Amino acid sequence: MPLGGDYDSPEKEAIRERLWDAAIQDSIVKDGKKAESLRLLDLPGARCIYLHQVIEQFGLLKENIVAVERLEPDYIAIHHFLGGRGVALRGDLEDLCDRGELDAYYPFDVINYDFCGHGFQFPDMTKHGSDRSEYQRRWDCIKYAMAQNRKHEQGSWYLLLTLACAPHLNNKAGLKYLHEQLAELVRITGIKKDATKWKDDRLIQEVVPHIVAEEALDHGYVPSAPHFDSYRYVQTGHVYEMVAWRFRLDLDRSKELGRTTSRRGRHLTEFCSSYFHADAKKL
Amino acid sequence: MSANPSLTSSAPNRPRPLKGDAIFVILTRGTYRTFTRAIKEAVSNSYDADANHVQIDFAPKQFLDVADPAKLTIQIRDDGKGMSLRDFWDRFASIESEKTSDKRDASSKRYPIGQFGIGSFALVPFSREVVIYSKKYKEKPIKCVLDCPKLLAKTGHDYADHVANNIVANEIDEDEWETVFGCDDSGTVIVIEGVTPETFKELVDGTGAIKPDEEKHLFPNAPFTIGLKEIAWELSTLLPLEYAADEGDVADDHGEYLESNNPGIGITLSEEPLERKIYSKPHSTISRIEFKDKKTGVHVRGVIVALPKGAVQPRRANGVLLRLNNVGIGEYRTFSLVGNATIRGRITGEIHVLGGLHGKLNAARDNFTGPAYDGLREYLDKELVKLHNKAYANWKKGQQKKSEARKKKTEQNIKKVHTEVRKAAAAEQKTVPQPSHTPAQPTPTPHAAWKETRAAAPPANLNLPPKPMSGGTSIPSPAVVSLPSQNGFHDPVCDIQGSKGKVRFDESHELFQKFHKQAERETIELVLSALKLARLPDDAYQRFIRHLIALK
Repeated sequence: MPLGGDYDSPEKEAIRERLWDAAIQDSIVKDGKKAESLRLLDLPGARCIYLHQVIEQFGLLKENIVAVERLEPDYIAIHHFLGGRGVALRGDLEDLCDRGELDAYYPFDVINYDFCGHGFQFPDMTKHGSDRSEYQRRWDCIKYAMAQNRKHEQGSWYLLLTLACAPHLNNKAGLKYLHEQLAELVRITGIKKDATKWKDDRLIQEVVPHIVAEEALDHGYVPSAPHFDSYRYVQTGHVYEMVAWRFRLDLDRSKELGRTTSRRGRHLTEFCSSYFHADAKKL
Repeated sequence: MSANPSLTSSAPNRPRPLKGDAIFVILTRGTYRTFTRAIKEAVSNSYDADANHVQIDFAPKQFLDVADPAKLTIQIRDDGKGMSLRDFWDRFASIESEKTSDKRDASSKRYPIGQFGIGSFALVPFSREVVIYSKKYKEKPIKCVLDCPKLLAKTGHDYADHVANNIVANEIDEDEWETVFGCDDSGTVIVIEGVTPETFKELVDGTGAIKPDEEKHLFPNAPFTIGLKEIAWELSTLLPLEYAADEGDVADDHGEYLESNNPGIGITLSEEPLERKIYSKPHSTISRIEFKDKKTGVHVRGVIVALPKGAVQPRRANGVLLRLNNVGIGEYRTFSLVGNATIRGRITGEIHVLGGLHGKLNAARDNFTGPAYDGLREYLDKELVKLHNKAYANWKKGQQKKSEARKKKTEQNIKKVHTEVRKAAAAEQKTVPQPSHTPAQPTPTPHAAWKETRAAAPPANLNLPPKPMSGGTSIPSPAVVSLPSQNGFHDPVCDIQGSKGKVRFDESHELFQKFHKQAERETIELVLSALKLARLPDDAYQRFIRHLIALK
């Protein structure tokens, strides 16, 4: 069973419906993209539940799906599901990105990083012995996706992100980083929130969009405030808190010589103010 | 003479046992020359394991375009009865098969079609690693990992040790099986993890068996490379499948002649269902085949077809395919048939061997051998000749009809041109301004205009026919009639009856000697008629005829 719970729990179902389906729906209805040409990068898991859904419900083609899986039995199941029409790649997403093995399949209209692992916490590795680079490399995957789509001049696309939030594990350094990010968020938006009772999941849910938005702007993408959404949840029968986000990134085509910095700041402030203004949602 | 005991005792009296790797290589690389044949053997094994569905999943073209051969995954999964760990070692890995092709398996009621029962071992020379997942009813599922390079490497061990040292086989959890297979039923999943560079090339570019002009006719809607098309063609031709509907309805109308002693199963290649077809067309000439030889016990049944027009497409289906236990033996062939090449190219069909030849396959399993087969060949040769002759007679009849139709059309065209010329001439007459001092005259009829032309034409030596053309009333034509010119020009047109659309030509004219083929002749006749009716000036007309002659 994957970390964070089953793929068909009611909570996961809600995430698919509220965040993921909306991304596909918007791409087709609002952006006028054809379902049969929408390209999806996914980490679907052995049962390929969401792939079934996008194919049956929205009419995406297997030929436009690239799926990544680390575990051998799950990979075999995904490879079979894609039936020689879509691409199944075996390995850690982080390794594939590192080695550039996904380059040939870009651009994508929807990238669904359903990690179900940790991110943005940077626990104290000296005490717990795990590999610190896991966190950095997961973030690198997000940057890689932005860079590759930018390289292919992908106009608008969705980044769907899901992460697990471990308990604090006495991780002072990680917590410090998150609080610094929160302070920055408060500074640029002018919105103050009482974070004293927040657990990791809430803290991560609030600050990660700001981090992602900054990175997106660095790649020439403007995060869309109206299309942004996120939920934190705990799946039935599990203890891990999870957070899922939906970002829509639009290629910034309105560049003006000499005014890049101020425009970037304006976009960041607009996006962060919009999402930070509301309370982060919980399922 | 007494033997020297010291010499005879040390000399070996039998060969040394074969090394394990040698046996393995003979069984695999020595038997299956192409990856396609190895896949066919693996699928045959699924068939013998009572599978009703076999799914082969390759990688899409976009993956093949960029991927490393080592990262290519291919799966063959079936819903057969599967294997336990004991079955794997005792039977599969030991190549202990009790199956014979002329005896139905007691449980599956099928005649076995696999060769030696080596199944997925056939894939070893083409792969880097082969992983077999399998589950037998009420047994623990298993996972066996075959280290291909090591299985093919030289060793000092005997066969049993060689195989045991290079295969890791274990029972696995039900959960793992369910993840791989999608449910807890019995079945087998063979996963090829990485292929050799040569195999990768074969998958992408093929072996050259399919010519580029043939490719577009094969699986036009499937996402296949040429290599995959070769595999798809070979598997759909050779393996036991049900007949799909054909354009000429042969499978429907003559189904009882296409029944095999083995049932067909469903096979998909990258989700594309493989189909077996009789490549017929409506109005084909059809021969049913039924041959029973009491002496040899050979019994065959089938249907051979000659298409009414056009060559068989795909071209590889030209000829007759023999099937044993519903499996294609070799390729389509026309045996010793000679005769008209066009008709030969239209023949296709399938013959099922129902008895008498089960033990008569050659080593490569692509043909039969022996006197029993010779008798069958002789019979098939005769049947093919009969079909050829029947189809040729039909073809001739068709050609004749076509020729008549063409002739009729030519006549109609001439008539049409003539009518238009007459109309144009009449219109011209109307528009010519009359001198003011001349009293108004009635508009001349085309007939009158012709009279004027005749009056102006040079007299005598008209190359006119002795009498009007048969079946036509000789209505004088406004067109100029053949004029042997004083400069030695000889007109190929003797006479023209525009209103009937009939023109008489001088058969002995040089022009017709040069353009003697039927189609050429018809074109020349049409052109000449048009020129005459259009009343081309003599010098231009003559230049044109000379030019035509000079063309050849």
